[in-house]
Amino acid sequence: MGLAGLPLILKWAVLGVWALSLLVGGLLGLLALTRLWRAVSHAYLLRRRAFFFPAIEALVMEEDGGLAERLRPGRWGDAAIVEEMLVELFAMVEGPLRERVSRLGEEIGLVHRHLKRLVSPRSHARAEAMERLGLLRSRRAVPSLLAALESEAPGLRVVAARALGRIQDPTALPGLLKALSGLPGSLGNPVAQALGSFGEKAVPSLLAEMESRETLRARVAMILGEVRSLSALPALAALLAQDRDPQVRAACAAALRQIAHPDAVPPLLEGLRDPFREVRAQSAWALGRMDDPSACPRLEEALLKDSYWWVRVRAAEALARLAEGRALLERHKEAPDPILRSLAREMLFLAGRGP
Amino acid sequence: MALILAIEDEENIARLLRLRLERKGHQVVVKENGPEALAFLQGPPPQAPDLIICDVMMPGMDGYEVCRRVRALGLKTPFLFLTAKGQSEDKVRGMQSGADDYLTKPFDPHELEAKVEAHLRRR
Repeated sequence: MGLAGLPLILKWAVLGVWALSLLVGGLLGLLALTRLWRAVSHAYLLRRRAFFFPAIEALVMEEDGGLAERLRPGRWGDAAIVEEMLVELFAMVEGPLRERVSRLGEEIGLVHRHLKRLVSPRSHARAEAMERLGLLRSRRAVPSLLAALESEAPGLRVVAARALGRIQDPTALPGLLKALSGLPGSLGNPVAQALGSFGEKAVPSLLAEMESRETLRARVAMILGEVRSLSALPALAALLAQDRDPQVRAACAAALRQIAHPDAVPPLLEGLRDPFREVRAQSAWALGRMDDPSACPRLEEALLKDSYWWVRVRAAEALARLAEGRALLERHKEAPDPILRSLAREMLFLAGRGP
Repeated sequence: MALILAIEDEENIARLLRLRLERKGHQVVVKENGPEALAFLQGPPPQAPDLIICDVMMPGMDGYEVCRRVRALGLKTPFLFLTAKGQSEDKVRGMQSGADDYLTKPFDPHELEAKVEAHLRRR
């Protein structure tokens, strides 16, 4: 029976239900197709990974012969699969094997693919290419990434810095140091992290930078702390004692805490007498990491007499980390000064709970 | 040939350990976590591997606890920690819990092999 005999309102209702069911059916069909596509592509991905797996194992075993041919992408999607497998290796291995994986990424064309995308007019494509080049630890990409560090917008410069930090090619150090001063505020942090990831290799350049550029001293001191560079200890100790800028002195005390070497104790004890309260607080905190009981009398003096409460907290915390310090805190558990009393009790309680 | 117990929850690293150490002629048993490894050691039959390699960061029981429990079983097996790079406090804590050595991730497989051989020589 057609719709001809029905009243108009019913005709519209039937057409509405028909259109709605068509829409719902279409959407369900689309959903099913999407799921099917995902399942098929996942199965394909696993098959291709399994195909390349023996070559990756041969690479891990440092076997010779034809690895580039075996890993060269042939079919659709292979480049991304092989690249991911190489990136997974970078996360696990160091030394000659890492160098070999890096060279292989270049030999089989993965690096070239991303280098071409660095000149794309779309900024997100350039950002992704930089990220991938960093993950592939491509030395060949260093000049292009250094150029990006100069010419790109601040957001992309950060991506370039991160990639250079992963590649860790020493030729990138001057460019990264230049970028450290060229990026405003928090955007400089990824550059600092990139420099820190070079480890001891970056220390001579960082020390020279600290010597020559006053404005970067605090930031460079923080990086040296992150690197835990023992060779930077004398320079950090000298700046803690003499630098005009209290932020620099505080950063040096914080860096000495991270380095945690006994040679840092004398300058940190002097730091407890600094006129700037943050330097005193950082020095007290650092002394707690030195495991040196000779610091206890001066820490106790800071706990009892410092004019700033945060320095007292840090001094109490430092004392609680040392057996001799805990004995001193025990004596202050019943002190008439309520702040001293509660600090002594709290830090002893926390020390009793262990790390 | 030595029996090496690797306690590692990351499949890729476990595979890497197995590949590199089996190539050197050792038998490698991989366990994904501390409880499984302790069950393997306690048996039946009780096992006495020649060397244990253990990740520090694992869900549930961490590497330090595994090491303490292995020592509590009376095993004097050389114990090697795999720690994340730069975590020097982890290394100290690892040694305090009874470990003999550590390797930082990512690691040079040659260094791994050299450390394993050095500890096995001292058995």
